[in-house]
Amino acid sequence: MKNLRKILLVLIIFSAQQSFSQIIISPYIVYMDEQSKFGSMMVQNESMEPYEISISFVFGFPVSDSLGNRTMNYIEHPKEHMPSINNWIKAFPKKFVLAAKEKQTIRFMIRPPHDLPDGTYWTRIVTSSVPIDNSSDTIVTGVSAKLKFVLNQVTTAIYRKGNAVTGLKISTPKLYKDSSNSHQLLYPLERKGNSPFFGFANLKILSETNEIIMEDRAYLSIYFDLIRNYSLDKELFPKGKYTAELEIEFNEKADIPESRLKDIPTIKEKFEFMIP
Amino acid sequence: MSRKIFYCIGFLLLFVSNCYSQSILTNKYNDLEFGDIFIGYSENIDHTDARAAKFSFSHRKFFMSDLLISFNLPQNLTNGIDNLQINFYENHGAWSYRDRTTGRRVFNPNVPVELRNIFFYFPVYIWLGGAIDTHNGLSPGAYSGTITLTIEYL
Repeated sequence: MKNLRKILLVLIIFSAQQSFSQIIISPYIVYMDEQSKFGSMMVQNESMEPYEISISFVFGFPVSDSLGNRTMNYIEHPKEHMPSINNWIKAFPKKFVLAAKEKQTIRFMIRPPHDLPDGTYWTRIVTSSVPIDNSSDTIVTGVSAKLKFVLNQVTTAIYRKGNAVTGLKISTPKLYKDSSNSHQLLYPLERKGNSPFFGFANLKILSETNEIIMEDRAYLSIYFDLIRNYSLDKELFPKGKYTAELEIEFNEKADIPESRLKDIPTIKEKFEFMIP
Repeated sequence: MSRKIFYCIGFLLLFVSNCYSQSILTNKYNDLEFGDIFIGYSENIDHTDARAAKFSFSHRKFFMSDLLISFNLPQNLTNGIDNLQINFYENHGAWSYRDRTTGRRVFNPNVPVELRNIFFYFPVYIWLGGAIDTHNGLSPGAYSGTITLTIEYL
């Protein structure tokens, strides 16, 4: 009975969170391929006020600097060799008002060229939502200032053609000492094949006595080569010899249930390093 | 006992199907509102101020995810006649897993923030302040501007 109460409590917390939310977008990856050139996405307005929604596309992918700090690289006019579907994808409707507690299905249609090489192509879907403001200002003698918010939620649309393959290579890791005298482990990740790699990275760092000092499990999406960094806490890593074990498991089905990409065995890398 | 198991399985199925609907959920609680200011005076809103903009968001990508938060910030507000300069400094942004003033992590809203290993369903709160400086000769009226907040999976 106690367990049942706990389960119900957890479920109530989760469902309460949904009921207080305003704009919900689902799913975060819209998948299309040669067999199915149509996709859909749901936009829900869970608030009590109407929102103006607009849909647009921009080609982009995560990139990192040499220290593994990531950001998005957006390219307004992608070159022909880039795997962008911006010019071939259409959304219906692209602009609409979503009344309180309403939902709207957005349909996507793709018309790629016939001579497109095999592989995976994508774009980012930008869903902008702004509440419709009916308030009026009456100030006449002084100054009043207010900033409205436009909220952009960015998801992904993917188109896959023919023999799409992906893979990943972990290049030689490096240990880097930053300006605060903390160390960082830098793993250069090289994407293989003609498709992005979606999976999980599991890192375990062991001391000389085989004691686990640090464990980390993180989602990984590699569209192009990048560097993954791990910060090593100064207090956890005093002078000594350590072994880092990184395992990367391919798990595209978690993101794209329709995926038919061939499974890849887990990629492993062992790296010994010394904190001086 | 069998009825309890039945309900548990039913709720769990509902929960799991919700998890796999893979949504991003967002909430806006406040706009950034300076209110009325006398001409010739300046006004600064810290992220801890009740007038600061406040958002929360969560995701449902099973089980954890890395997210990127970025702001597109205006340099001026306008009343249709004059422009009023607005500044966002490196301590004007903050985020936290909890809706309280202590324990927030401060960030510079002028550069994107990478949030790592955000647990699914758990809300992340974001606050944004700003600073304006009115000068003599500025025409009175209601000045407004737009901030774009972008949330995306990395």
